[in-house]
Formats: sequence, structure tokens, C-alpha cells
Amino acid sequence: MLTQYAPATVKDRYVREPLLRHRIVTAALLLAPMVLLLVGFMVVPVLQLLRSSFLPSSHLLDGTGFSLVQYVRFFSDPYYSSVLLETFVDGLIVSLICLVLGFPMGYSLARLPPLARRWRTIIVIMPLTLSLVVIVFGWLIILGRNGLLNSVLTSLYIVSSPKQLLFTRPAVLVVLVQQFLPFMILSIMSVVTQINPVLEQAAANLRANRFVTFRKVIVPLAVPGILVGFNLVFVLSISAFITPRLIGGSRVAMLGSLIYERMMSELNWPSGAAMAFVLFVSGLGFTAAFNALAASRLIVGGRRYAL
Amino acid sequence: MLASSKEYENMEDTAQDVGDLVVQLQSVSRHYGETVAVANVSLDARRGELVCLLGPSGCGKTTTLRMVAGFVEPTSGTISINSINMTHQPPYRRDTGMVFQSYALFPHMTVAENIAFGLENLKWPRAERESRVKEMLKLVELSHLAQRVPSQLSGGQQQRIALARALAMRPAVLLLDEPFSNLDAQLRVRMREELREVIRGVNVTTLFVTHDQEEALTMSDRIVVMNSGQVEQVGTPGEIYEAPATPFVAKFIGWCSLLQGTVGADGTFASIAGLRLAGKWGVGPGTAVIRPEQIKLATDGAAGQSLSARVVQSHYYGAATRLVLDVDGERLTMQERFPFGRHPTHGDLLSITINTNEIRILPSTPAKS
Repeated sequence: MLTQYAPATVKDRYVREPLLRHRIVTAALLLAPMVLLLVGFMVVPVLQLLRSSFLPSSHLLDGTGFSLVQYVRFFSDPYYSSVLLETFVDGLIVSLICLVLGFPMGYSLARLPPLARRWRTIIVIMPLTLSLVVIVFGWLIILGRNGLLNSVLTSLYIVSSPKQLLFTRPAVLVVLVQQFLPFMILSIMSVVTQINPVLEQAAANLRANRFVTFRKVIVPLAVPGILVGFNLVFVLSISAFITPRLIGGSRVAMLGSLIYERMMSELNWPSGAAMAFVLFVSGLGFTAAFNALAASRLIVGGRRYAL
Repeated sequence: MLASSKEYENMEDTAQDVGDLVVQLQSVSRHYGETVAVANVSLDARRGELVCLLGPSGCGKTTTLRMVAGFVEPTSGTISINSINMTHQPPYRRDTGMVFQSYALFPHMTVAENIAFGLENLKWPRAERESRVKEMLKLVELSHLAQRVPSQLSGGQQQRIALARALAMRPAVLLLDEPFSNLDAQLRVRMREELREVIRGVNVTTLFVTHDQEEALTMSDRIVVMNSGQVEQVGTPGEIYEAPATPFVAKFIGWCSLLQGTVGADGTFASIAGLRLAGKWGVGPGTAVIRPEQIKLATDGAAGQSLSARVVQSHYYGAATRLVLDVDGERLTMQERFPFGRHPTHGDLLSITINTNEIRILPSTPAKS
């Protein structure tokens, strides 16, 4: 409407607007299938779940009314709060271990010639193609009382009798690291391929040894990839439920497995839904706060001069 | 091992010593499997000297420079900087400052941080570091850009910052890898003059790599012409241009026509196609090197020595026209300024004279097996 009064743009409108309209239509068409899928199978069920978390009773089907009782119950019992905290700490530990293990791997992959990189990348991705249940059962065989690890340790006389490995927190963390490491490796790899190797040579020429080059050049430039990998692994870890349930059993409580129990065993959907939303909102809040902190700490220089 | 700022000043005091070798390469070779990138190259640079490695792409000049910087390890031979054997030292222990072809400024640091990077690693105290950064920015006349990041700079500015960063550490030797290849033609000439002035001003020994013969001629004290991994000739720009040692050097430096032929008993050169040049050259087979400026249009008085030439190609360059001529079956290149509207075109007949006094005949060497 405003353009009517601007003579210079009158001619432009005829030229530009059909193109613009065409572009919007094309974009809408391309987005439609995914938007429909997400709305139908994610947004609607999630909203239903949100609704059910406000039901007063422990039954989903005949539930009516609106109440905060599920949330009150969650926060009034210190057990749940400690599980929530525990879940976040576990998520941080897993992300940190993945970062320490994944950075060298992702970095070295990025510095390989493309052909050599391709095969190694396939090997990195391979575990993701296996069903999680298959992987977890594999770990059960390795970690069991008469499993591979225990029989190796006893036959080498490192331990005198088989140790309890399964149903311990370290076991859960190890298995989570194994599952989510590829995400970290791929994130780091993709960002390091964007860092021109000539910058490392420039640093070396400017008297920086390999450690200084790593600290002052590579890490600051890899921050975006580090953040992506860290967030991915953290979110995947805090929401994991198969691993904590099967490897951790009843002794290791993570919120994901607790929610699963509540919904699938006790069929108490309103309570499970409330726990799910506590996890969802606190996880979102935590990652947002973490990213804001990391951004202000690590990429100050880039931001300051981004204008 | 690395010069602190004080030591560097003292080094400058003794800069006048002749034969003071800062960089020395002795029979350096680099093989990549079967491929020989650099074969048995020996060269040196005296204090304050600007030495250029010139050659076509793939001649091994960049590999040679990278071996001096320490990014490539020689297969054999030794490299010394300030008479200390550096052959197997990592880059960060070598007293060199390099300007990369792509400048390689750190994108996450400001201009000032980029320049200070080397000084931090050399553990300069903060105050000295800051004053040195200011001094370097003043040297390249970009003091107002200290707080910018590289992405906000033009190509020419980035290059000057890269130079400031390399020189800040007061390196024993400055290394430049095709420093002008990413600049447009006009800027290139200006940056060339500026760079030479800066280098002269700080009197730093410089090794630089280029494939541009004009750059090499205008900037260098000495030129090392390389071809397929080997040194063809080392000499001053004048020596290289006026007295090329091999047909390759003659052809690579400046335009010229190379004629295969033989010098007869009377000292006259006869080309294979039959062009004869009267002179007093040594008897035997050889290659005549004829520069465009040695061919002139015949004046009326010189009718006796003039040759008849047919224009084969005519290229207008504004200030001059470059002609490719057919003279007695040989192709010769000449350069001349013609009055407006009278440029010769394909097929025209011209009358020319060749200044045989300045022409060199390179004796043929037995073919290498």
C-alpha cells in the first residue's frame, strides 16, 4: 500500500512482485510436507501430553478437570528433584567426555584428504545404523557378571572375583558416551573442515607451537561446532531412557527411565507427562543458558566486530 | 635462539658486513615419491638482500620457500638461517616471518591482535608488544584499522597487515609467497612499490616467490630463475635480462624471439629457416635471443641493412603495438609506437633493421639425456 505513494518503486513492483509471490509459493510448497508431518505427529501429540499433565487423576482416559497436582507432587518430593539434578549432571559428564574423546578424532578426520576421510567417516557413523536395543544387549554381554570384561579381568588376575559392572552409574555413562560420540565427532569434523589449514601454518610461523596453535587458533574457530556437538549430546543424554533402564536397572535413576516406568508400567500418564514437561522445559532452559554463557565467554571478539 | 628486540638492533648495526649470509641452502632436494619437486638447489641471501625465486608454476619455487619456513622437510641437503642449521627444526623455532599467498590472517582476532600474536608467543612484555603493534601499524599506514577484524579489510589492506604481522617479530628473514597474486592489476603495481619501500626501510633480508617476471625485475636485488625443480640462473635483474644463461631464462624473462641456427666461420649467424644476421659470434650451433627492442623500423638512410617483414599478428597495447613478424621464414616479435590510425595489420609489409650488436647467441649445449 505504501509503495503507491513512492513513484520510484511503482515500476519495481511490476518487475519484482510476481517473482516474489512465486518464490513464496514455491517455498510454501517445499515446506508443506514436513510442516504437516511435524504438526500432525509431533505438535498435536505434545500439546495433548501437555494437557494430560494438568489432569488431577492418575488416569488418562476418563480424566477431566484442570489441576497442578502432578507438578506439585513432583516438586514436593525431594527424590524427583535429586533424579532431575542427577540426570543433568550425567548429561554434562557424557557431553564432556564426548568432547574430549571426539575433538581429536573429528579434527584428524577433517584434516584427511576427502577419500581417506570417507571410509573413516562411515566407520564413525556405523554404530548409529544399529538399533539401540541391539547395542545395549551387546553391552549387557560385555558387562555382565560372567561377561567378556569380567572373564578377561579374572583370567588376567586383575580381579579375584567377577565385579558388579552392570547396574552402575559408570556403566550407564560409558554406554551413553559410546552411543553419542559420533554426533560430537561429526560436529567437530564439519567445523574444522571450514578452518583453513594455512592458519595453522601461519600460527607456526608466528612462533606458536602445536599446543598454543590449538588453544589460540583452532579452539576459538571451532567453538560453533563444539557448541553444536555439546548440545546434541547433552540433549540426547538427558532424554535417554533405554540405556539407563537396561544398563542402569532400578539402581540408576535417570529421569527418562523414570518417565518410561511411570507411563508404561504404572500407566499413570498424567504424572509421566508432567515429568516429561519438567525435563523438557528445564533441559531447554539449561541449554539456552549454557549457550548464552558460552557465546559471551568464547566468541566475544567475533561478536564485537560483527557489525 | 630467536632474536629479542635488543639483539636485533645490534644485528642491524653489523648489517653492512658483506658476505653475511642470513639464509643458506646447500644442495637441497625434495622428492614426493617418484616426483622431484626440488632438485639440488643451492642459494643464499645476504643480510638486507631481496632475493626472488622466479619460475613457472610447478617449478619448485614455492616448495623451496616452504622448506625455508619449515613446512616442508627437505629429502636431502641443509638449510641454515643465520649460520644455524635449521634443516630439521619445526617452523616455530625458525627465525622467519612469512606473508602467505592468501594472507592467512586469523579471522577471530582484530588487526592489532593479529600483529601481536607472534610477539605474545615470543613472550614480549605487554608494553613493548603494544608499542611494537603501533609502530607496525604506522609503518603500513593502517593505524586507524587496529580494532577491525580481517573480514572488514580490503585485499590490499589485508596484505599490508600480513606484512606488518610478519615483520613485527623482527625476523631474520622475511618470506613472501606470491604476495601480489590476489590483487587486481593496478593495485598490484602500487602494492609492489609500497612493499619494496617498506622492506628497504626496515632493511630485512627477504626471499620472495613469484611467477611474474616484471615483479621480479622491479623488486629484486638478485633473481633465482627456477625450472622443473632446478636453478637455471642466479643473477641481478640486469644480468638475467641482458645476459640470460639459457634459452629458458631468455624466454621466461621478457618477450623475446629464439632462433635456432649456426654461426659460420665468418661470424655470421644463419637460422634454420634462412635468416642471416651479420656479426662476430663464436663459431658453432646456437640459439639467437632477439628482444623486441632490438628490432626497429628501417629509416630511409639504412636501406642497405634493412629486412623485409610481413605482419603475422598485431596486438595494440595503448602505449605501443606488439607485432609478430615473418622475416625470411622466422617469427620475430617487435614493439613499436605507431602514429594514430597507422597501425599495421595482418599481411602488411614492413621494412625493419635488427641491432645485431646487442643480440646474444647462446651456444647449444649437448642435449641432456
